[in-house]
Amino acid sequence: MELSADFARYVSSCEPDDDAVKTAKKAHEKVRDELKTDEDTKDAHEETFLTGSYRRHTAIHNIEDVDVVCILDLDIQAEGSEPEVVLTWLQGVLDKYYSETRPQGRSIGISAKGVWLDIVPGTPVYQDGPLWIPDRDAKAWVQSHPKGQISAASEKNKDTGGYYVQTVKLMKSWRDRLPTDKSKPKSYILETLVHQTIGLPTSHARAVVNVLEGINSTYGFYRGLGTVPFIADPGLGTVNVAKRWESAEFDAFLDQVKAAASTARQALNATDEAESRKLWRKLFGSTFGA
Amino acid sequence: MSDQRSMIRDAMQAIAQRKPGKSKLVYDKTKRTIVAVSEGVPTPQALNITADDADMFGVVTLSSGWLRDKWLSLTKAGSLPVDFSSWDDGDALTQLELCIQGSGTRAAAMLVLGQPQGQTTEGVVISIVPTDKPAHRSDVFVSPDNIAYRAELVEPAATAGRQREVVFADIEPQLDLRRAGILETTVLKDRTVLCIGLGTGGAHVAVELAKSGVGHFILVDRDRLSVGNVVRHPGGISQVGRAKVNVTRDLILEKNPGAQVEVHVIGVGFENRDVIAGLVQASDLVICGTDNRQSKLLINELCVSANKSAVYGGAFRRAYGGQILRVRPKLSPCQQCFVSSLPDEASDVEVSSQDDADAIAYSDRPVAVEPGLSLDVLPIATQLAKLAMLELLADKSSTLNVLKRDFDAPWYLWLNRPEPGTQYADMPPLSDSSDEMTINRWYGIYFERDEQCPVCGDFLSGIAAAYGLDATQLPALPEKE
Repeated sequence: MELSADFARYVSSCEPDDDAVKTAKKAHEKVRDELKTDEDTKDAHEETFLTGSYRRHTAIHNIEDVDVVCILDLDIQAEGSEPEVVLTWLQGVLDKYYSETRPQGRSIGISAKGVWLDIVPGTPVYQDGPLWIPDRDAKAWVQSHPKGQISAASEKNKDTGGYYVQTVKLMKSWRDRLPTDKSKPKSYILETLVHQTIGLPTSHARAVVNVLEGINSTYGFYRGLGTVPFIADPGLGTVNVAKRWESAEFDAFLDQVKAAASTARQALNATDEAESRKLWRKLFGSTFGA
Repeated sequence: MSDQRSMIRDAMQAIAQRKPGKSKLVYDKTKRTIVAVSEGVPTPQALNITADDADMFGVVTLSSGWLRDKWLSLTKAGSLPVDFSSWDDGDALTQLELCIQGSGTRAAAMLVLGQPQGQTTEGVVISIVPTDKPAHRSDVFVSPDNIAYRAELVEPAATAGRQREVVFADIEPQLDLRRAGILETTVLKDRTVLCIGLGTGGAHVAVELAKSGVGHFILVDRDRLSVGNVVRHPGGISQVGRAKVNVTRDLILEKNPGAQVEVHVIGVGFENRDVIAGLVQASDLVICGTDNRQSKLLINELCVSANKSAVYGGAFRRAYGGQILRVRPKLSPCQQCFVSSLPDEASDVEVSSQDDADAIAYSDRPVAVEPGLSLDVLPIATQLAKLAMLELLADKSSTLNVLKRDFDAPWYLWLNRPEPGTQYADMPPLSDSSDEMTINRWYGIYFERDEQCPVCGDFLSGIAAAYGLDATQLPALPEKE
């Protein structure tokens, strides 16, 4: 059974709470204003925008981090524009405002009163297109398309009558309950898999079944092959979101998907409400339908 | 410059340790990069040379590979002669070793290690001096002993005042850089592609594959480039009269100087069957750009026998459309299955040479040669090249693998315009409709293998069934290679 009311309540319970949203908003507005007006960044600054699950409205519960992209006018071929130098320069600027800053692979992390912000510098490959993002480990500028990710999510949400965003939240909540860390994929991989498989659902329950069965039928073949397939970023098809996914972890995730797909199908097909709810609870926990 | 690098390092260290340093990092608007300045000193205003200004300069291009090979001679003798092809009234000089086809105007120069001694009055002198610029820049040469050098131009009096920068062409790394992120750059270097038929389509496919980094080519065509070919073929008027295989070889080497290219000026017919069979055997993939059915069927038979994938492409009459067939032996229908199952469509072949036009004329009435324009044929060539790339990449890692689910049909039909007299004449205009065929689109079409195909199927069983015979009593067919 589709148990629409139960699903609606459960999705609502996954939403970030109002205080977390307010704190995040205040923090990102402050840092964006600082980057725009600071003496050391104002000449380089072109634009900042929000990205990540917070911007795509797919974050759940506590907002763990907020991603801010800062577009800079940089010649990435020029001496001095090496990823390490640009990231360090940005950290130096942020050090003026924040007591805790941390160099990360592609960003500078800052702690701002209860919320962690990742400031990602970038420079456009072309206007409104992908960005060059500094990769400290690769010692190279690599392409990413945060705005493409935002518009892909937004279009998918529109095409699915709003089910996309809510299904991502449901799938993240299911993922967080999996027994081992090994079987839990990164949020953006999971979001991409939902993007690929959600179809055109008419209820939350059908969306979950579509996603679990879709992942199983599309990728089940790869289980045990020792290889992780190329999973294209909906925002930029040449980027493989599964690039760093280890094959053992991928296999562990597929095992969970296979079992969950079977449970979800049984729950959807069940004609007895109590039986259906019991099966959905196997996936989403005892608070489902409570 | 060395000060600048060490100042950047100091400043980075200071930020990492959260301690004040002697230098600090600042953004330099004119250079669009980060520079280090001494703490308390205002940001220096760099010479504001923009990318547009740089384009005003001429360029002298030297081969890094050549210089590395000659490095010992240069360090011993102190100087080396070097020859350039001179372009644009001497504004651009390209070292002859880099030129597949030269300009016709040569310029001699002398390469000098360190600053040249004495007054230079004539000829270009290029002085090679150490630098601390980053090694990845195109104006930096890294010697075999791992020291970075830049080159300075000492112009003769006659050209004094002309601004030219010296850059180094490190061919493989610089070409690979452009493929990185799309292909693993080493994936295609050991692949061999046999290109049979080097008319407009075949030559374009070969050149596109060279750009993608395919390392070995075997080229087969019997024709020479004619004036009439020039409107479509990538070879130009200066190449008229040359064998198409040689024209295409040079085009390949212009794009991928490291490629190995073997050429054969022969036709595809039963008289050359053994030669072609040997070439098929030596290749990883066969690209068939011939424009007659007999040659395609022969190539198909040889490829299926040798278990080699092949891609066949061609334009319809006047190129109102075209088609591509991809044959994976035993896994997909072959060219013979195609001809048997789709006789009407398959017969709509292009005739692009007078010889073929004459050959198929069954009366004294002349048969028109019917080429399309280049822009009609190129969509077919580029699509064929993409399919060929997918075949060559097979199970290798590549971002192009996302295309595999889009390209899983054996036959691709390209509709270019609703030619009167064809079944496409009444087609609706191009629209966003997805439930009807329109022009300017590709269609992937699925059809089944012929299980009794004489080339790729069990032909004897088919004959026996058709005539009510006992298959075991029929004489065996000759063994295929």
